[in-house]
Amino acid sequence: MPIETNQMNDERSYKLNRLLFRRLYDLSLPYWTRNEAWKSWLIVIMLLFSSAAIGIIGGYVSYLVADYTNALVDKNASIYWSLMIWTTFVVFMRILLSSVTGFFSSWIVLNWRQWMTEQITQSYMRNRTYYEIEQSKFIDNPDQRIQDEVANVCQTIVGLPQFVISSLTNIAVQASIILNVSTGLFWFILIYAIVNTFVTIWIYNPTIKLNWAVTVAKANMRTKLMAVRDHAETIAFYRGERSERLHLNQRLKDVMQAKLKLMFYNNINMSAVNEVLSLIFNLLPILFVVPLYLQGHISYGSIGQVTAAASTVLSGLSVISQLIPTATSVMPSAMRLAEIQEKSLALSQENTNTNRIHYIEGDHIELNQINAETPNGEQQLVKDLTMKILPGHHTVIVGQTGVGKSSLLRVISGLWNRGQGEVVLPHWRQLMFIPQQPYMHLADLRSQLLYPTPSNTGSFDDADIQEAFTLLGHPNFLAKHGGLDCIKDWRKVLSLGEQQLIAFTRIVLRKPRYVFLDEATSAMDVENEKHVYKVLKQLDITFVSVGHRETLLRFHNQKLHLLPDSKWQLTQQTTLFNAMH
Amino acid sequence: MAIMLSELENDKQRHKLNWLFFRRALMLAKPYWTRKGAWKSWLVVVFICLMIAGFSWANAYVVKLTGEVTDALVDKKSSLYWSLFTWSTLFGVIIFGARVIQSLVGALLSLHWWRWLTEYLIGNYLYRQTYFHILQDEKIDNPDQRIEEEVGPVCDIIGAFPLQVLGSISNMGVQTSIMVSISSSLFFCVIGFSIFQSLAIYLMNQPIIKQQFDITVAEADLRYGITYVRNNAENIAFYRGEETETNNISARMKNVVKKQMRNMIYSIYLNLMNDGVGVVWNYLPLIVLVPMYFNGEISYGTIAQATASATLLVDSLTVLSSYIPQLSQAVPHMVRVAEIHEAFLKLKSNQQDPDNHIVLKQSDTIQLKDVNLKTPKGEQSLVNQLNLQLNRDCRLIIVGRSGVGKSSLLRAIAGLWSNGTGTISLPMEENTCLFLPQRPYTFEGDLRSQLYYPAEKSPVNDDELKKLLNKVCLEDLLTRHGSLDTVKDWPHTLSLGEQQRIAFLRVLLLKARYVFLDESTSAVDLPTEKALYKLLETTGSAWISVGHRPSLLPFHNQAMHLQKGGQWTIRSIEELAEHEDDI
Repeated sequence: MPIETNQMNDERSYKLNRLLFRRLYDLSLPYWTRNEAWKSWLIVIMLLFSSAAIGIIGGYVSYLVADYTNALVDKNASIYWSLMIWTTFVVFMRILLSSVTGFFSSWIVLNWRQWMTEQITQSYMRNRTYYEIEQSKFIDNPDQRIQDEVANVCQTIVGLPQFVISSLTNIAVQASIILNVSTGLFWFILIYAIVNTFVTIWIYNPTIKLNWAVTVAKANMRTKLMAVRDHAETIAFYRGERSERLHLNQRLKDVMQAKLKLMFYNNINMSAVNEVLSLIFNLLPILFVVPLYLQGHISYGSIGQVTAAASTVLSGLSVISQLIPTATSVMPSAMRLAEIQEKSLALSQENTNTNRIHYIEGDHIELNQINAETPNGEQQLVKDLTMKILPGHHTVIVGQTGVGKSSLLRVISGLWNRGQGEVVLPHWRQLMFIPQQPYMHLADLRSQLLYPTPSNTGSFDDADIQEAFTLLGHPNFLAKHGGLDCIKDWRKVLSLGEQQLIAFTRIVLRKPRYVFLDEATSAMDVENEKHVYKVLKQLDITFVSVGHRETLLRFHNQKLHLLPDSKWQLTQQTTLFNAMH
Repeated sequence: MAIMLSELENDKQRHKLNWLFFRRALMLAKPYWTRKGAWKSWLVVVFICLMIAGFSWANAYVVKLTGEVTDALVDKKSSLYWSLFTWSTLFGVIIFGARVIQSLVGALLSLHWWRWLTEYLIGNYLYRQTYFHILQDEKIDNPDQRIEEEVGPVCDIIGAFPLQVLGSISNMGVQTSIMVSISSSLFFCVIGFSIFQSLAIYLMNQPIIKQQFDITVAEADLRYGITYVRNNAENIAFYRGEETETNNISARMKNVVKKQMRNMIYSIYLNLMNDGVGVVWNYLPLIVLVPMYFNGEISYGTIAQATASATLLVDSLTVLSSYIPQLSQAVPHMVRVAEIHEAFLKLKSNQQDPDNHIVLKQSDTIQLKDVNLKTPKGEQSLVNQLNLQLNRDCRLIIVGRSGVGKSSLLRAIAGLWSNGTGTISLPMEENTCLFLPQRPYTFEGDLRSQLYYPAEKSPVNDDELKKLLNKVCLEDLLTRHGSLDTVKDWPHTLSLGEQQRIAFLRVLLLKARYVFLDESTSAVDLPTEKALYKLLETTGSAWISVGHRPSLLPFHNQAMHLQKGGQWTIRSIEELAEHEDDI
């Protein structure tokens, strides 16, 4: 079953309140105040003018329609036909304007979406926010948020001003028509619109929570489906299909239930209320205007004109009530995006309180009185650990499984920093941490090897890469796998041992001063392992290994033995390495 | 940097609204509508159809009323006008009530169908190893996105078709008869223009299909890129690869933009055409009827009536012809869903090329006869003419250098890779062979379900499970994490060593005849490894290990050395111990 998040219970998030608007504002500001923003502003202003123009032309057309209807009723053929032709022309112009407006509207939404996606992705990656989010699980499905919700937000916010402007224009134009005919009707409509607004707010509120429940349930199902995809071979080996199916169907059921609730609410409650409201506002004009006509005060053409005008005014005045469904649909999205931004900001502002390990830049690696805990503080990993790793002092970290060897690497790299003490280490560009599970990037082979340096920075050329492989004893690796430009799903194509080899190639290319290896040769045979360590030594890279194999010990001078109950033992050993070769 | 995007087959057929499309629609619709309890669904459909017929009749009535009301108004007949007005309002309310019922019932049916079809597809996707082969073939991109997102639109479009078509046709029939009675020339004009409109819409919509397709795939790729970061968060954090990852995601976003732009530009033309046509429809009746009115042939009310009728007729025709763009938008969805179903059907029928395929047979013991194994795309030969017999008491270890093909041999025995020739006989009943893959597998869920995976429920009670936890040296797991019911993100909470020990627990629970262990103790220390293998001995299973460590040798009585190019030799354990370097 999926993990429940606290967010579902936070009532404050569901209301149409200041927090929402502030979040929308924070999300929108960067794009509209960036360097080239004047271009976007220009387009938006143009769009607003268009919308207003369309509204005004609409008003003009309604006068034309009234006139030619009157001509029709009065059987005035020539006037009728000339008016008809002119009206048709105006209508076509309006359509043209509409189309062009539509295009630019879509364009700006797309442009903004691209920009916002990049901006949020950067927030997501900055300060290791993505890592912290995975650790704490407070924010669910961040991937869905970035890919899905951004489009929604941009669409709504761009659409809104246009909508407001066109409505306001319509109101102004049409109100004048009504006022000419019946002031009573006009005031009645106004009162009615206000009532309508409040009713709409009341009725749309529950849909926010219902919509959100559906979004989260769907995202959870998708996550499970992606997990099956990512572990396909493993599951296939286990023949675990039936078990997976059980879990998936459970998640499907959750989605179904959320959708049902929403559907019932939409179909019964909402449509009933909407129908009653629209019935009233269709009837209202007729009730006012027809008696006037029957008594001979106005012409027949005016009836059509006024009824049309009345509905236009009503919908224009109900701008706010129309805003609400839009806002409710955008609210969960804005919130889900804002959460990522806010988390990123919070992480960058984190002050050093007493419960954090200090990291200082220095020449070599030193751990001083380190008391490290797991991020939630449940377990103590190590107590008062003090040691130095001078250049050339290769260290191996051993200990029982689960005692915290990988966790110690996390502490040294800064991923986990809860505790006390001081870590001195060189600038991160002079370090490399190779994690336990080999990491393959979704790209071509060249990017794979240059990782984490982006491949377009030009710091290494192809000859360097081939040389690295030759040095590591696998000169034919590139040829065997299709060359540097080959794009494949490397996790599936390469064996585990080959993936670990790639990690070493990355090291050889970057030549850091220190490298931390977490079981980085576990899938290599003993001969390969010996060779890669020899190469590291040749390149003057000091290595800190975590591992089990006895074969590892002989490459290192210093051994840190992590014991249960946060104890530890440091022993120096004369290296046997030189003796082997 | 060239990012890895899903390859789009350049198959022209996929993007057309053609016979293949309708055949696929039928194939996808059939299971639900011919299932066991299907008569209930059919009943609902009949009910909805009856209502639709009712609405057509109601529309005809409304048209007639409109004529009368307008005439009364123009002739200033107050009392008649107001009574007609009251009655038509009342009638409108009744119709509204009926529509609510119809839409509710329709929505329920649609939801039910959606759920059933999604479950059915999940069943297909997870049937035997369909999901694995789909991923291997790489022809079907983002299957997860397809199952979660595409089924809904497919149900909507297939469901809407009969209802919309039915509704439109019945409306059309009714309105046509009305219009013919008013003016046959108007009728012919309307029909003529509709045909022209439908043709134009059909032609203009063809390119949209491919564009929608491309957009869907691009969006799914974007999503996958971000998910990948999420799933590999720790690795990326260790590597500090944030810049590269951000570039990757930006590139995927640019791809989405490119595909969307294409669609947007084309849409301008499309919208122009649609709106333009709409305007024509408004004026067509007037152009035909007004001269007649000026000549005194018809009353003003008749114009209103004819206009109303023409509007309804046009609505029906529009629905019908706008169904075409809807269908074309549905083509990508339909194709993407149908492909999963077709992959499943293909696997089920086991169409394979016997000359290039390893045959699996049922037998009591495991036997490999003349097995030649290649990589799935045939680039490398991994095993040459392998002949091996594995009895019930065998304890084999497979050794060789990295990348030579040891795990792949296991894949062949498990039936995952089959490119090659020869025969592999093995017991195929449930739980007779257990494969422990190189990457341990745990998932989000409660602790208990991690232990009895892949079974659907635990074969023993909790006390037994706890005893087993102790046996595999995981005594502190419960004290650290709560109880067997605790739900956590286990893949990121448990260390590799702990996950490997859980894998051994699964072996103890399952009691398979043959157990295949692919580097299953690489992350545990030597004493634990020894304890785990000793536990294996108690199960009475035969086992085949793949591994490097010399420490593994004492637990086996035979070794197979696999070399590059497919050569293999059987050695005794003593021989191998002497030549440690070969491992």
